[in-house]
Parts: sequence; structure tokens; C-alpha cells
Amino acid sequence: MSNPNLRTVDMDRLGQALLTLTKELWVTKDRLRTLEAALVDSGTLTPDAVERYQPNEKLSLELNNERAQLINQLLDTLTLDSIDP
Amino acid sequence: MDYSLHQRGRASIDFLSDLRNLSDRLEPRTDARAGFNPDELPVEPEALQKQVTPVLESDPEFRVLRMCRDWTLEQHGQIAMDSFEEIRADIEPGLQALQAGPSKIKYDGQLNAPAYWDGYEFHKSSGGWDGHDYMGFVHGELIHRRMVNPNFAGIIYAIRKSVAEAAPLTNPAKVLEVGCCSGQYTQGVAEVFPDSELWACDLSARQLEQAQRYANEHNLKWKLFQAAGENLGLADEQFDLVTSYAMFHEIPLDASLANLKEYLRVLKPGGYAVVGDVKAYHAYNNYERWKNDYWNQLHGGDPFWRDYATNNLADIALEAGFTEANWQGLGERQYPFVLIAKKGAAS
Repeated sequence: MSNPNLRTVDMDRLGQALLTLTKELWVTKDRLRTLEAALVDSGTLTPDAVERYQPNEKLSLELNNERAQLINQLLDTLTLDSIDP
Repeated sequence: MDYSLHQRGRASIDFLSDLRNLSDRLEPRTDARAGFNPDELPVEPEALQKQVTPVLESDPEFRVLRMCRDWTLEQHGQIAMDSFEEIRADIEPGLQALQAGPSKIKYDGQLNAPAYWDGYEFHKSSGGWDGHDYMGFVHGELIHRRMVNPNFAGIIYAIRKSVAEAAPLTNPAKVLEVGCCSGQYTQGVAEVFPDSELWACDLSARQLEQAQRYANEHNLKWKLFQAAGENLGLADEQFDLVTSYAMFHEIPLDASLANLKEYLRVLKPGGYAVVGDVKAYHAYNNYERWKNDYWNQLHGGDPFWRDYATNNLADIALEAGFTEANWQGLGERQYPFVLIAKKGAAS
């Protein structure tokens, strides 16, 4: 890229954000897979139940709020201390 | 038609849409730090870029904002296509069934597509206009309805319809829309002129098929055909209104002139061309003009944006042979800009 978005001074913040995000992503993937397996094993869910599940209004609102919080955390991390006072 | 995305597609689209929206909060902060007085900036886009761009690009938050926007632009097409593949087996029979009904498509097997169209990845969207066997659904439903519409506060369909409402005609007998894509503006035209015979063309067969599905689902009889606006392949002087929305900024200036000449040819004497598109540069202050140019011409995958926005479409219409032409923005926001051009009573 001839005119990069991120420059050398941005790389440390990007690395921190990436590692934080990857850690949280793995915690969620591990927990989700474990939960699905436990529920299928117990006969509570069929194997594709989560894939095809459609959130109701309450769950949609909850997901919207949590997704906004996640994105805002990411943006905050990417821009933290990036501007001189 | 009703459909439900699977969990990965739904969550991915929601994430992309929210990232685009929420990262916008960085923009006013970078604007404030840059501190430009619009009245002290040059008017001409190249000079503006030379003066303003280095200041903004030296701001770390601006670079994060650009990274977020680049990511959404470069990922949205692939995310939409991947989301489609998750539900293909569920919805493909329904999509195919909707191709039967009152609306027909006349394909052009010998289509000689203009150079500006062929292989062009619009808005950096993977695959171009025809890059997927259901690109019309991918573009019209998954990208526009689920990703773009939320970023315009859910009013993109009302914006499109406002262009048809601006046409100085009541109940025209025969209307042609050029560059109808997946039929989003066609819906608005059909709502404004429910009793008109509606024709619509596009170069993309896949987009026309999505327009056809919408029309058939709503029992609308649209005459859809594959053609370029500058070479419609229709008889002279048969339409009362020729209209388009958001097409002219996607084509080079010589194609704009050629389009308007072709509209004039197929219009009846006294008929109108009504062309809606993005806001002209002269309607922005100098700093807002820089932003519009930077994010669209330079970083939005819109190579003809600046040419469109810096040339008076009314002058081009008069050059094409229309006898009256006016080009201005609608409402307080002056958005979209609309050309209303009249063909003389005797030509």
C-alpha cells in the first residue's frame, strides 16, 4: 500500500488491540463450542439448532448493545493516547 | 421474500454495519483538530487534496477511521456472498420461483458492454456487478438493505422515491428507468406512477433478475431488458419519462452525454428526463467538498465520482439537445441532486 493507514507509531497499539481481541474471541469460541456440545449431548439441542436460531426482539437488543460495546472498546483501544493533549 | 440468515452471516453483517456506524464518531473529532476554515480553502479538488489531506492523514484517529472504512468496503462483498452461501439451499427454490410471473427480462446475448462497466468492482465490492450467480440478491438484499440502509438511518428507499416524486408529470403513460440495478429505485417509480407502463434496463443480468423477483413477488408487470443507457435498442419517441438514480456518478462524462442523447431520442416531444444522483461539489463548503472527494473519489471505489460532481449536468443535457434543463438538490440537505430536462415539443 503506497499510502498506509497505519504507520510505525501505530503498530504497538494495533498489536495490543489485536491480542486483546483474539483472546476474547477464543474465550467465546471455546465457551460456545463447549456449550453446544453439552447441549447436544444432553438432547436439549439438535446439532444445527444454533446455526438456524433466530433471535427474538429481547435477544436482538441485547446482542446489538453488546456488539456496540465491543466495537467501541476496539476503537478506544486503537485510538488510546494517540492524540497529544 | 422472507428469509433468515444463519448465525455467522447475521453476526458478520451486524458487526460490519455497526463498525461503519460507530467509527463515524471519530470523524468530528478529527475535523475539529484539523481546524480548517472552509472559506480559506481552495475550491478546486486537486488543490484541496494537496492542502487538506496531509493534515488529516497525520492524525492517528483519522488513520484508524480510514482503516475501519477501508475494511468495511473491502470486506462487505465477500461477507455478503458468504452469508448467501449459508442459506443458498434454503432460499434458492424460492428465488427461482420468483422469476416466473408478470415481469419478463429480455436478455442481450450479444451484449457489447462499455469498457467502464466490464469487470468494474463497484465500491470495492468483490466480484463486480455480475460476480455471483445471485449477485442481484446479494447486492439488493444483503448489501443494500442490511448494510447500507442502516448507515443512512433507514431512509435510502425514501431518498430514491423522492427523485420520482420530483418529476413534473402526473400519470405518464410510459416510463423508462435506465440503470435499474436490483430494482430499488424502480420500486419508488412504480409507487409514484402506479398506472404507468414501466420499462427498466440494466447492463447486469444478475441485477435485472433481482428486480424481476421483486416485481413478480408484488405482481408488478415490469418490462425489463439488458442494455446500456447509451444504446437502448428501442424505437424513437415512445416514452413520456426517462429516469435514473445513482447511475451517472458510476459512468464517465462522455457516457453521460451519450446517455442523455439516447434519452432524448426515445422521449416523446415534450417528455422529460429526470436523473437523480449524489450531491454536486458546488453545494458543499470547501472542507465538506474535500471530505466528499476524499472518501468517494479517492477511497470509495468510485473512479468517475469527481467528474460527475464537478460538471453541471444541466449543461450536458442542453448539449445533448434538451430545450430546458435544471439541476439542483432536493430539500434542505440538497440531497439527492436531480436533473429535470425537457424535450422540445417539436424536434
